[in-house]
Amino acid sequence: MWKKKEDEPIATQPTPPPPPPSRPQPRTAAAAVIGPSVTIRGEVSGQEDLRIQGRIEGKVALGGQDVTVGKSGKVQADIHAKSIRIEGEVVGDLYGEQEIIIEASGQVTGNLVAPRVILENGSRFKGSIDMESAAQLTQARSLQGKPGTGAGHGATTAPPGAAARQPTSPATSKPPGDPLSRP
Amino acid sequence: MKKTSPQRWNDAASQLSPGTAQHHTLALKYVLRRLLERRHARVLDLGAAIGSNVSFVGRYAPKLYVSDLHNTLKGRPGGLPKDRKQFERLLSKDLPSDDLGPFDLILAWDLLNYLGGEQMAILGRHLARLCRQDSLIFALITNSKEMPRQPIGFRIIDTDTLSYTIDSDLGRPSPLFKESDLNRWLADFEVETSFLLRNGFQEYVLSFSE
Repeated sequence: MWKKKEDEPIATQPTPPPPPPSRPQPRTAAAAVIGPSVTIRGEVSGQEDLRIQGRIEGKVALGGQDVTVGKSGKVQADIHAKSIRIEGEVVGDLYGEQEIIIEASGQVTGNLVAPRVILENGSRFKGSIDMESAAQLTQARSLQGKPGTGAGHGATTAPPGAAARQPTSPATSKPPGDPLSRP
Repeated sequence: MKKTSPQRWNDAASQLSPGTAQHHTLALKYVLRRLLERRHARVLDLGAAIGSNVSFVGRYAPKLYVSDLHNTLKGRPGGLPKDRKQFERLLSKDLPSDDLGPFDLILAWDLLNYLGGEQMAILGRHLARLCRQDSLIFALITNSKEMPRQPIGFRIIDTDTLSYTIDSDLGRPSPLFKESDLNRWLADFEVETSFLLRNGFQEYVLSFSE
């Protein structure tokens, strides 16, 4: 019944082209979530963005990914990631390949290493901010032609000082609109 | 560095009052010029972390340490501990360790007004350990009889302008420190220059000498 008859005319319509080879999908807003009732002691690593609403004690190593510590998040750990956003509480050192943002509700005690650091009004921070080491790592990485893949190995697509809000960049040039000039 | 006499902005210095205001700063530009002479400069901010200040200072110094002594003070309604050992412990906890220095510029803002002489001396000794030759302190000393109960959060607008908000009534007597007081209590530092402002503050730049 399903066998094609030999005298049946061959369809003349062209067959639809095969689908194009799969391309990397753009990153969606979805991120893995550690819920508010979850506590993790140890190292968290992976290859997707992460939102922390619960507690983490140990280390967060998500090079190349975005990490957000939500308002209910409490982290006692060093965090290595591409972009780090803090809305909750963190005690530990933060290494951002691109940027670190501490939101108004955020509290951080520790050291920040990133080419760009943004502290929103109302945020609490105590510790050091190092934009030089991060920039040097970024420069070295770009000279090697390697993408930023690892924690602390800063690779940024945006030039220092290109942040949309309150950019912080290494003191390599005269600040824009600033009457002072470097000798 | 040649010492300069205080520059008077206006003969009749007005008084501090609650609210938000801006003032023209002369000392900030002065210290930033000096900072530009240093490569890989480091800045220690004794005040609270303020985003715009971090952004601004970051253009001049890629390494910044925020000790947030302002909020430590605010968290202690009775003020900083009078007991010498307790105060030293507090400073050891809040100030960076020696290996994070030396710092080229220390932003003290108005913190010194909230210290007694002995406390200032202890702070000065701690800061001296974090300095190198010609490191600078930028401080604002009140010339008004009264000052806010809590330290003020100063916001850098540009090299010439500071913004500040006084959200509490004045009501704390000002210590009215003079240059001689600063030189006495901060023995490792010397007043390099100062600027009298119209809003009742006098800006001081002190330099460290080994």
